[in-house]
Amino acid sequence: MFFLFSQNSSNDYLSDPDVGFMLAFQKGDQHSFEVIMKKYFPRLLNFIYRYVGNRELAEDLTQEVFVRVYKAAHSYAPKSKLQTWLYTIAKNISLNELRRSKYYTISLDEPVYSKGESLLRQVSDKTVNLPDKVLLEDEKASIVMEAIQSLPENQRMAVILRRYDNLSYEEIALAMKTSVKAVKSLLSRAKENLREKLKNVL
Amino acid sequence: MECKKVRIFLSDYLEDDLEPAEKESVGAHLGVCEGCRQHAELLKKSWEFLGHLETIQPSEGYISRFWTRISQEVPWHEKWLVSLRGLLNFRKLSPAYTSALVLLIIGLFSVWTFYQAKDSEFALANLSDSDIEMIEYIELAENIDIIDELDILVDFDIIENVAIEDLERT
Repeated sequence: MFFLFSQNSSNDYLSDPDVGFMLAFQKGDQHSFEVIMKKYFPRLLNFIYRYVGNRELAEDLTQEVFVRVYKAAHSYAPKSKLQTWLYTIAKNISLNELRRSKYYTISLDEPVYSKGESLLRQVSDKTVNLPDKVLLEDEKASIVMEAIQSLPENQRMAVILRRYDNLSYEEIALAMKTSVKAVKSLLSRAKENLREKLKNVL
Repeated sequence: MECKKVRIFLSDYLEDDLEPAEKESVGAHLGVCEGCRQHAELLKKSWEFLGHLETIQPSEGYISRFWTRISQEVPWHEKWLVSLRGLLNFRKLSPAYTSALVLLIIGLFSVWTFYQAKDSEFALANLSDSDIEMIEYIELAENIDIIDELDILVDFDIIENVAIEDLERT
């Protein structure tokens, strides 16, 4: 049997089923692309939403992630798990958006979503002894979003990837293009900042 | 271990990501230091408190909106090329597909050669007598250099004359 070329069987990432879907899309299988979208769109949406703090913007940016994936498909060659690659693209797009709007600030009136409904943020009043006040779930969500948004960009990203997306230190390091040691340091500082921010409500 | 040093390790301690010796040292310090113990407790609670931020769902029709955007942003010929690239991805051609492709190329070449030969036959069949005579003269002229090199014509001449003389003698 005559072979022109054969697949590189030594690529470790070929065992990743998501990589398989991406390669199938590369061969023209549009259904495979939709499988990837259905799996990762909600995850990346939440990642970006927690990072930029705006739902509509997060939807646009998440769509942008998949537009870039679509356009890059013809030259795609697996060098990591597909998940890592997608998070890297999402991270870059989110960072670019924040830096594009250089004086971007979170409006305290920006709605935060809880239980599918939007609600206005509530700024924690330091004069109120919050542990005595019974916080509603919606208020807690608002306080959490404010606390996360108050973190520096890299700490924020590390916290979201670790706390909500359950990525390992190695996966976070790959997505953020840094070392595991740097990721641990970021998380340590982020946790201290969050402790300081949330101590009045805990 | 001092409080300042323990607090550096607290995050990893809570994640159970310390070497056994370090873990034991931190654990021992927390057992006797109320301040660090409360600090660790707040770190843990604030991390858990982040869970109050719920997950949101994509708005309806996000996939169809995506394809609409693709149809607007990606030119039709690029979309067509996406499919074609998949078909002609030489890095991943299967053996059967490769064989079929080679046979197709050979087949096309054979058909081309056949029609080339037919064209030549047609041309030859339609030559006039004067064209044929000219071709013969051309062939002769092409060979004249070779003929000049030979003494064979002289030999033929001798043989011819000898034969006639012998015949006359007998």
